[in-house]
Amino acid sequence: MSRKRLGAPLLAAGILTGLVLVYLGYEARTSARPNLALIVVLAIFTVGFIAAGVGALRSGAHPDALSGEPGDYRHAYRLFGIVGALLLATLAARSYAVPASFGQFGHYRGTAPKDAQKVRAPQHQGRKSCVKCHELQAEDHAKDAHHTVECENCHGPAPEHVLVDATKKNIEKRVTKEWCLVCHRKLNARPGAFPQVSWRDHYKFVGVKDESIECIKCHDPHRPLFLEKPITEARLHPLVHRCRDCHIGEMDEKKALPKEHPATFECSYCHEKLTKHAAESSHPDVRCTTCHLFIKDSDYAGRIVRNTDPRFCLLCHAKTDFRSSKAKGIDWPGHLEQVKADTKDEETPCTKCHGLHDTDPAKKTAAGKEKP
Amino acid sequence: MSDDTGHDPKKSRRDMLKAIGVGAGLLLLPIGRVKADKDDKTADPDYDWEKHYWGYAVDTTKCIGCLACMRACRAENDVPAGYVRTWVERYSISADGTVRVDCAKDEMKGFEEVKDEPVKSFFVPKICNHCEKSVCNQVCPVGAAYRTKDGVVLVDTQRCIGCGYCVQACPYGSRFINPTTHTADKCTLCYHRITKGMQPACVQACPKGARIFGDLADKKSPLSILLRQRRYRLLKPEMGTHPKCYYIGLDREVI
Repeated sequence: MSRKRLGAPLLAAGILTGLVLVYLGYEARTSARPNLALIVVLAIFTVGFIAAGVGALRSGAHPDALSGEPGDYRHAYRLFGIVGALLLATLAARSYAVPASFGQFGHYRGTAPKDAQKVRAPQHQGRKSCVKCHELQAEDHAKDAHHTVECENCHGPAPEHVLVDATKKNIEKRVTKEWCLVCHRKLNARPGAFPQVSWRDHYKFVGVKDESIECIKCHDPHRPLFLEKPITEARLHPLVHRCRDCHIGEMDEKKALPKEHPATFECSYCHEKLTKHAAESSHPDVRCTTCHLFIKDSDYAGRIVRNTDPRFCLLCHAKTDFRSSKAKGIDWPGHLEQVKADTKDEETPCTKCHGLHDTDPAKKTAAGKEKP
Repeated sequence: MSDDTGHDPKKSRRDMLKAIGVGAGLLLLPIGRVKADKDDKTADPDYDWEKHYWGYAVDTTKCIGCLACMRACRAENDVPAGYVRTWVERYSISADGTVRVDCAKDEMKGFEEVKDEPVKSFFVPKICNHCEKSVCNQVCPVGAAYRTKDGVVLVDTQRCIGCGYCVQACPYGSRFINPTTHTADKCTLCYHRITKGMQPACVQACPKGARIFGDLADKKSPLSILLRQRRYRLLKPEMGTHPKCYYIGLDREVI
């Protein structure tokens, strides 16, 4: 066999090894330990084969154009040259476009997850960072109905305020009525046990005429209900059903049940004496759960809170210039002086003198001691 | 020059420059430190993604539709206005069985009252389901959509060409093309927070505990316990995406 005849098989062998080399090179990107020695050896063989093949083919080639004689493979060199150049260009472009870590863990850039961890600094700092400086507010907040509401829900995330420089300028305070209503607007979709108001009705009930009055005039956002004991320490209580748990729309919860209505869970079933006493006392229209707040935890249980903090009573009874409710307005703490009480402590519970249900101080001893 | 005094002017100048340099460095030090704190983008070097498998649960019975999650997400992740990574749907089912679904127009204003009285109404918070067999990854032509080993579906914004295939592919509508970066954008489960031991912003912000985030690899995590105790449903299980967002108290109407 002449040397020229060896050219084609040699070239073919060279391209084959080249293809294997490309495959191995691609594999090397994804595998943790690429077989470098094998790649080097194959590369040498590829170059060798191609060089030998081209050399052999050229040895007998006619210097002129294609002669059409057997053994004239010049048309093949051109093809091999173009394909090889394209292959090389593709590989070059690929190595430029595909990041080195691509395929390390899967079909994606291996360093991407680490980048995703570093995409930005955490903005919300959490209440733990607030407690460090605002101890009093945190203490109040942890006690009351808003204890599950993150500080940053109303004050906005403020990494600068927490980490750099705490000023009033870099912290928000969302306290408008519209803001309160984002959570507390009465909506059908809200779970029935969640406190929600039609604010016009509520204002009418507490005797506020001016619609521009904000909720925070009466309710402290940190202690909206001025609970006496931390809400988390409230005792567990079986579920209290409300009319609207079953009935759609507005229901008068104080209305007597129609005869054919099945028995419902009423406070009086267990607390007969107390409810009777309450009904005959000076708070006959007030529902038990208005003062003994019921917090529904789940479908099965809730917690009941007793409340005697003066500020809770004052939610209805405070004498203010912006409202005129049916409830008797009390000037606090001036009231303590008026009645010549032996204390001037603003936090004196109203129940010190007034009965739990019957507010007449004269009847205090009889009412206050009553147990279910 | 000043050899006789033993005083080398060159040396003293160098000393002075050194002192200035050190002084300036010391002055800059606290500023640099504070800045690093506020924009601390470093990853936790001890975080091992082989040890976690993040999941998510939503207790729809607890959701009050206050949208604290949406506000927190927007602030935490700098989500452009008009786009959301998580959202809350309100389902209103009327007496004749018509289902109406709406979202709040502005999360700073909350849901509006509906005039007509539905017989049943509830909120359903939605988020990327971080599917085990996520379709969005499979259609990405450049390998920019991927799933981490700890089970979070992410977008490599460096690779993404913004073709929007993944946005089309996601059966839950969790993705969008970010108008500023022109790349696909989606919930990352706050990957920059969870890898540092924090909760995602929406979970932390939820006042009723309706959103529960946790580690499915840890059988004692609150999420694993919850999933053992309660019965849950998945969204569009027939899509074969194996979503990892578990819904408690979900209605048939919810898609």
